[in-house]
Amino acid sequence: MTNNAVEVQKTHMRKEKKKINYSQLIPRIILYCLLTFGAVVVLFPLIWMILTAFKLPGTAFKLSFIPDSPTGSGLARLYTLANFSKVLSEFNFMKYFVNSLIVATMAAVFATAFSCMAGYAFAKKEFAYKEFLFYLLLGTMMIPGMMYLVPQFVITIKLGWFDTYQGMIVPHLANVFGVFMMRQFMRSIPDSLIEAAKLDGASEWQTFTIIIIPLAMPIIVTLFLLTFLFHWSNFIWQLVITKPGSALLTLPVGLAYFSGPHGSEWEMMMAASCFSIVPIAILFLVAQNFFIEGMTKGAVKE
Amino acid sequence: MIKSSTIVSYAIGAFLFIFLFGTVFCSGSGGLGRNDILVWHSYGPDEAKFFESIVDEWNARTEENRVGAGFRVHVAQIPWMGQESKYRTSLIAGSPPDIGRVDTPFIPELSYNGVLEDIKPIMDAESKALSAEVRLDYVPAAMESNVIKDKSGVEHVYGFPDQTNGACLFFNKDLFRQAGLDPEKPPKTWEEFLEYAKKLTNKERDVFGFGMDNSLWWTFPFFNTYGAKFLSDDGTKCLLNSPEAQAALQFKVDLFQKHKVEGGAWASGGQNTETGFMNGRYAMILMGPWNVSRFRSAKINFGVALVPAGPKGTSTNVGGTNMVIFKKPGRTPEQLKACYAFLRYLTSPDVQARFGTKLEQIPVNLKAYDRIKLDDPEKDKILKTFMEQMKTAQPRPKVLKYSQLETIINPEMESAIVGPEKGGKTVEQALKNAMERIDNEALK
Amino acid sequence: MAKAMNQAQESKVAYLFLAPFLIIFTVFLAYPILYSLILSFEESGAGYSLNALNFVGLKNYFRLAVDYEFWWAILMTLYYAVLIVPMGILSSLVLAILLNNKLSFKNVFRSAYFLPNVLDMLVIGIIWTLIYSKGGIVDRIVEYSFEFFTYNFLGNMANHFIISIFTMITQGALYGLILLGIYKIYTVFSMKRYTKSEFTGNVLDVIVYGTAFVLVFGSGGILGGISGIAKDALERGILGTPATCMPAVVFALVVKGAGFGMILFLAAIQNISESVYEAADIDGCNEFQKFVYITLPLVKPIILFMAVTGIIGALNAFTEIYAMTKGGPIMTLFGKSLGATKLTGYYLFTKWEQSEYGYAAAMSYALLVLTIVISKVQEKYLRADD
Repeated sequence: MTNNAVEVQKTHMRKEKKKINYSQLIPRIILYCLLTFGAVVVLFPLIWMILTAFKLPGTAFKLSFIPDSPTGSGLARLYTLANFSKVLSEFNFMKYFVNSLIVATMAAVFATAFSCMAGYAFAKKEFAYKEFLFYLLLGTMMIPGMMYLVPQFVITIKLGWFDTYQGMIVPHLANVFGVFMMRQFMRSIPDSLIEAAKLDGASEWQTFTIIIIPLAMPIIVTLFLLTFLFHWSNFIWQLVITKPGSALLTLPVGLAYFSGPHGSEWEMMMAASCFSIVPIAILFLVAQNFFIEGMTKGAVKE
Repeated sequence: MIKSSTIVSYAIGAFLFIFLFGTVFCSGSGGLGRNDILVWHSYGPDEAKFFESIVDEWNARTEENRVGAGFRVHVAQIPWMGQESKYRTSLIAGSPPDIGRVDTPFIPELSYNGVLEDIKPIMDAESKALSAEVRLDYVPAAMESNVIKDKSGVEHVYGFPDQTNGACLFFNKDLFRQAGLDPEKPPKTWEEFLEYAKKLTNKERDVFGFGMDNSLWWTFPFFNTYGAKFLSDDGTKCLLNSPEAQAALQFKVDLFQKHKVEGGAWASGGQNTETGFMNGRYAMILMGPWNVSRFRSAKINFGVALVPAGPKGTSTNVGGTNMVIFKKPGRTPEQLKACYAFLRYLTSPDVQARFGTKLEQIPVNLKAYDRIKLDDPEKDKILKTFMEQMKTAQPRPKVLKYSQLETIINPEMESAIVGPEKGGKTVEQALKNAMERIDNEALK
Repeated sequence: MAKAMNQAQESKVAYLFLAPFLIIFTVFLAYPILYSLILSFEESGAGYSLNALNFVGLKNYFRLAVDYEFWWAILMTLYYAVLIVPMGILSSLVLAILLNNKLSFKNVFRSAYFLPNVLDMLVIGIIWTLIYSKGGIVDRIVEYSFEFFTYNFLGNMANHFIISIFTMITQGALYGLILLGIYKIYTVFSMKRYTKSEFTGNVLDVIVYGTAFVLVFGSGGILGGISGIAKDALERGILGTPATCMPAVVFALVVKGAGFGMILFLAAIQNISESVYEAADIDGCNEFQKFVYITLPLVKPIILFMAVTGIIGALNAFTEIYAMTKGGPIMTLFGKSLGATKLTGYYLFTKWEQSEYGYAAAMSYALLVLTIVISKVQEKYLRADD
């Protein structure tokens, strides 16, 4: 009997599959086309940047991308690999790269951790002055970054952190944006889970690490990426907090040496920018796996 | 469980403590002493190499009793972009360099805040007459940017120019030939210029006779060649509403509006002058020497000419940078004299001649002019044109808030170009409004 | 008793969690804010040391109140925010929904849409300037479309037969679509429902329908306006025409930022378990209803977040303007020349560059007050639907 039922179900599903094929095929194709078109539009600046990185010096803004003859020499008239090699050799690139890596990683790790904890407190806990504190936080977001530059600089110097890794990392570890984001997301985690954990005898920290963090993993990873990105590309702060010629210079500051008073050596800048994108792209691809894992974990728990 | 987590938290705490406050306990590293001079420069890579070789030369000079013997010059590089922030924050922290290379319009702000050393006393000490002669050695417009008169009319000199440039007329020889014009005969006056531009403009092939930048700096050639004065001599009134200024601006505006020989380089979103010139869209532009090598690698067949003459002859604006000496607590007079001597060496005719020849730049010292000879006759001709132009260049108005001048007048000029029919203003209106606002806001 | 103790306990725990963040916040963020507040009451004197400031009381604020450039900047920023926040949220949401299904290459698409976020704003601004420049791609597209839709196919029928037929069909299709749209609107908003007599209803309908027709097709109407703007844009460049520059900038930014919102929405949506959707299926809901009643409420906190941060971002937007339009094409209103994309963030920057720190601080505080007001309104509005 069960066998028959299964058979019937199977044929039923097969028939359904056939139905899905035709009526859903055309919308699907249109969808794919739109998505691909959208992806091209969205990636267009990136493609432009990469192509420019290969161009001959001075030709960055020439609107010519297609070689006049599909031969090696035709290509060579428009493109070159020299920019990349110049960037790597002439210019101490590795040092800047490593510095940026250190600063951005440490900053992202600590800032994300602090934001998680603070966001959890705002989302799930009641405490004195909660409202006031939250609005204070929001308020700081509304003041543009350049207003912070001088006071932060003075404080950092007074702490003796001029031209040190501490000075480059610590001042920006309080990420209000991250706290806000965590708070919003953690709000959607049902309280019942937390109660259940408490009943099982878990301590606060255990509840936090075992229940909340896995559920919020996608957001945590996103926040990490964003903080990393922010610190990786932060120019003004790293410029003023380091000594000129310091061994701690980061990539954006180094890149600025390509910008003279009259425009910049665009091709070299683009080549260097290509290099600086690589860690982030790698990070993101790695993070993608986290997303997927995070999803399934959350669903299964239910 | 609890025990291990406490241990862990203590470990983390200790690590953090050391990390955060470690440097407070460490003593500062060896810095520079009384006998050292720190120079911050913002040169590009080629210029930086040359500069460092000059520094080495100066340091290696061993003549006894020369001024500055016993002092060593050290060099640190800052990026051009963001240099004002760098200087400002270092001044707030009280640790500026001894000598710094700054963009010309930054000097009024620095002098107003009292952070620069006045070197006029040193120059006068040798002899008043010599001092005046020394100043005459330099390209006048470049030197002028270092001289600030304070409220009581006393002159102060704050540094020496280390680089100077101005705009000249660049023209595309190929496009000239195509339009039937002689590529070796660029226009000499604005009237000729207009004729040429009309012949060069070809709507179908998207070619325009001229690509025009609208900001104040790029409009100075027009103002100057028409003899329009920007500021009154005491620097308190803006004189933009004069008939000369109106004529100059009207000519500019007409290029776009009436004669339609201009390709919209001034509009936000248009192709700017460099890009358009490289793409063959603009046959003529005003441009400085910094793009010469770039145009060359883009294989444009171009020539450089003096800015076409207006009623008051040819003239141009002046850009460039100066080397200034910052005040520092505990500086000795010897150290100051050493800084001065170094700067004089840097700008001496010999060094400047080498600078100009090697890097294809305009020397700041007039005495170096006849020592320059480039191997390539084309390059030589171009450089000589620039050098010739610099003789008639006029300095920018020395206003404390120079950037505010630009902020005020650029939109007004743009609305004049757009014209009253399209929601803009007439030339007269634009200049009048600009003048009022400048008087009220920028010249307080 | 137990509850009170628990409250105190909870507070303590909460503060422990907050501690690392709060310490750094107080030292590096709260103190500078205080400093900025004090700064807003001062004017920069001569000298770089922090002692060189003179107390001037509310002078900066008074100056701000009568500064027409400031108010214009606020207007432009509101315009900017109204464009970018809804578009941003919408595009992110749409992307998240589309890429949530079982679509092959889902990961590829997700990465592709997120990648632009990674680029430096300055670089993106420059590249988009090139894209929008005269002779660039967008300009060509606008030019061709414009020619397409204004092609005089009747006149050219003899010479260029094929092109004429083609454009006739396209133009016809366009006008047909517009007419269809008007008709649809007409059936929805038909006046017939409100009037007792059929005759009056018909008359009213003709009036309304007729006005709509004239509005769209008439010489001063919408179509005419659009073609006028297009002509302007072709002459002055997309970023050079006051009417098109803001949408252009907004488009570039939405394209850059859509990926980020998409990830946020994806994370939230994927937290909703399948069982909820299956239950809805059994209840007989269609796709749209499922979206509105299940998905939407659960992503509300994210929408709120994006709205608030979007507005804050709009008020502080600077790099994008600096890279693309530097304050924008100049429009002249009431005898004053005003930039069409001069946002408050950019205006603040110009003041900062001119060393008017006190004035810039006052401006940031004024904007702070404004943002708080807007956020409170938003929260009330979005909370009410909870």
